[in-house]
Amino acid sequence: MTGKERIVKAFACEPTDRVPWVPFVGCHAGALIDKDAETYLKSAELIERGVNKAVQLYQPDGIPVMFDLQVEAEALGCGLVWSKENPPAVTRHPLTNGVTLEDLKVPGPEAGRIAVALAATRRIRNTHPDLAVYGLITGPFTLALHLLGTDIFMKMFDTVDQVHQLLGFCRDVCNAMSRYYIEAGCDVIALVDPMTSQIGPDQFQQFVTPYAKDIFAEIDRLGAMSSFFVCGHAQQNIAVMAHTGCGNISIDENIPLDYVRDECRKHNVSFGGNLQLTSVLLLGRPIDAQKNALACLEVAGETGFILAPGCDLPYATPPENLQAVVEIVHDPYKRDVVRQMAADTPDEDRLDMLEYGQADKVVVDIITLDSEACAPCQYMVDAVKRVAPEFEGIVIWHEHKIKYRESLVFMTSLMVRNVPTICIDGEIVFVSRIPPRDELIAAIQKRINEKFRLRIQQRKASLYLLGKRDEKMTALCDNVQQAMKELGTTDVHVEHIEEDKLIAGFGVAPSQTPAVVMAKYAVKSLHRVPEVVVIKEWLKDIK
Amino acid sequence: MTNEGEPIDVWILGGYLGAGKTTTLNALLSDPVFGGRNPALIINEFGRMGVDGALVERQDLSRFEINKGSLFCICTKTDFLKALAAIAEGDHQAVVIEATGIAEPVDIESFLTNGPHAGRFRLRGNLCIVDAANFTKIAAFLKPATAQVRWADAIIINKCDCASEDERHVLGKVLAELNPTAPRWETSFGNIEPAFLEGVHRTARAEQLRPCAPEKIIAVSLTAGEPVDYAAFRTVLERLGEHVLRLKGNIAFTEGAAYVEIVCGRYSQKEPLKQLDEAATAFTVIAWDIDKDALIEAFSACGCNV
Repeated sequence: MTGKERIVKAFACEPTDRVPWVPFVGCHAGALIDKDAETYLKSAELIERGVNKAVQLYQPDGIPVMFDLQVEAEALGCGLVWSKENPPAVTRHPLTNGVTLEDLKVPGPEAGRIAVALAATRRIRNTHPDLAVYGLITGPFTLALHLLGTDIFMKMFDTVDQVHQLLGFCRDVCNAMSRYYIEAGCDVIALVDPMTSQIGPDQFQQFVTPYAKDIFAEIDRLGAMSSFFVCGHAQQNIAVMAHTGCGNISIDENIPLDYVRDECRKHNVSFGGNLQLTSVLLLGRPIDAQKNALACLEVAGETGFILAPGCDLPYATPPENLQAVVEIVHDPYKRDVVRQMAADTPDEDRLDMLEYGQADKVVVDIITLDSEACAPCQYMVDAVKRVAPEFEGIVIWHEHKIKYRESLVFMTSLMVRNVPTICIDGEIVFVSRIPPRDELIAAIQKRINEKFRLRIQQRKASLYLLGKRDEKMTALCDNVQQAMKELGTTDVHVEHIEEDKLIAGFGVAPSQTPAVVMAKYAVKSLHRVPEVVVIKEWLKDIK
Repeated sequence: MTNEGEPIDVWILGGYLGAGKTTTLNALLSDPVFGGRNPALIINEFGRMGVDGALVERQDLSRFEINKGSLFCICTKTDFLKALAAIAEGDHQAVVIEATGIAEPVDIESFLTNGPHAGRFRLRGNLCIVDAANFTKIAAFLKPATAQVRWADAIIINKCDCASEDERHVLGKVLAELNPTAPRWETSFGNIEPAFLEGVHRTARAEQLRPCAPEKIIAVSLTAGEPVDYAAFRTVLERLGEHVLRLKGNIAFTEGAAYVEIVCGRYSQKEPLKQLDEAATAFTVIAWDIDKDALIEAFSACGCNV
């Protein structure tokens, strides 16, 4: 199934092989190709390059050409202020600066940056025939606000008819923009009308519904799919939005996804959203993005839903966060892993692992979801099982299934983020990759060599010379001194023990003297209290 | 660097365009106690909606403009957090955040308390500037207008010289209903006594103050298929009493069409407006503290319907 086919099915609320994913890449694509927002949003060639890069990185099913709600406003004479990391903002509203509605004409396809947007659309259409291409148009209410400024709220009471005339003009602009985008190759027209979040459902029905219905009917007539984007606190309007004839409603994190799901299902309208933009995608870690994506998928269900960010992605969104979302979308196994990890392990539950791996034997830990239930986990455990006999008596291995809480704690304590993972003596070595036999042997051998070196460097010992002071003992002492001298050993403590009671304490009978007992020391822990699980590993060496 | 141990005081200045935020801001900044704390300004720029930066008298202050083309939504959070980060790194002891007429104060507060700068800032107070002459008009159409009042720790009723005594009286009742605890200060040119500000205390707000709560102020547009009986119409108005804040539009009375306007109980009528359909009844009512269905039901008694 292609991305476009997936989107078509999702819009029709029909089953798909997986939930489709549409990252709303606007000026963020500029960041991907190292261009500021202003340079990016003014060039069809750069927009195409940015979108290509985003497609390569984020493997979407659909992609917007651009996310800039000022294109129409600019073409209609609104003053803009540009910035480096944001789309431009409208700062001058023509209808409050001497221009009348009669002066305004529906802009043609060559007006202002509309030409740039359409050229970019044609290029993207050609390059990505299998993706659903989204054309974003400014909704009638938001466009009216661009043209008139906030006076519109006062005029909704004072001069209702004028407001309707203005909205009628904005509807005509929306219809024209829809036609341009569809002719240039867009599959979906998204009517983006964030300002409607500022009004209640009564005003929505009076000032938005009639125009939105006309626009969606026109999009339908032109053979494209339609979506209604809103952001902000717009929960109050979702039910009336679902009555406008749109094929999809897309929302941001301000509205609970389950509420939108229920309202949309009542009307057989598909829905999308609502990955958190700033706190998760911009400022969070990949695992946060994955948990958020998983939460959205679990609430939304599998039919009639499109996973998407709540709104235009921030310019500096780390690509790795969005790539982490891609893993969740494409890989059911990854979803299982993140589901297990969803309950974050509190810091106080984490083990102190600093001294982990200081046992004489090399410890190989395999962190899995469950090798009996998940194929990659099983292959990883098998790989270790096959290699372990090569190191008989030197290597021990354990599987930690994170479906059990203690294993999850162990995993987070070792800072493991992905499953399956192989750790050797507490160090993460193989992540989500089954190592070939030779590679695994080499990794274990490397650790053994390291340990051997360390052990030689760290070794301290005592020699206990047991027995009465007699000729034999004198000879023994001389030989020990000679041996130490010949080896240049200085860190061996030599002690002569004569008392029978103490000699017995070493497990040596007085009749067996002179005897030599050597005790080796290994520093296992400094300045901290090791965990029981760690001490147990040490004690196993003694056994 | 600011002393890490001392949170920076934050004042949020909300209010609709034209309410007098810039004047109030200038008054705040000229106060030696407040202005002497090296305050930083966060200005939420959207055309004429925000404080006009050029009109801020003290041009020496650090100023951060939130300028987001994608407008009004959660998208502004990124820039807002960037501004807070820069302020936290400086030596400011106070911040004034100019919240546009469309900002939800609950959002701004959550950026301060839940973001990466939690603990670095202390919300000292939410000041809401209310335009005495226009608040009851705007509140029915712009959700954040009432949300800002409900969220306020102090309400500054500005431009009192432009409102009649009746309007001020009704406005006082509406504001008290929306927010019974916030102290109110009546003024005409944005002037605030420093003592008033000193007495403002931050009040923790409950979750039910989120903007989805049922609106107290509603607007309904009505029409009538048949001529409206004037006496019946006046009887409806009498029954509704103070629930009707404003009413405006053409009404085709049996005795002849008229353009009717009601502002806080004051009824007036004149020749029907030419740009409207003179023969048709079409008017809008703004009411408060009454259910929408009850309002429609009341007007049905004189043949008017939605």
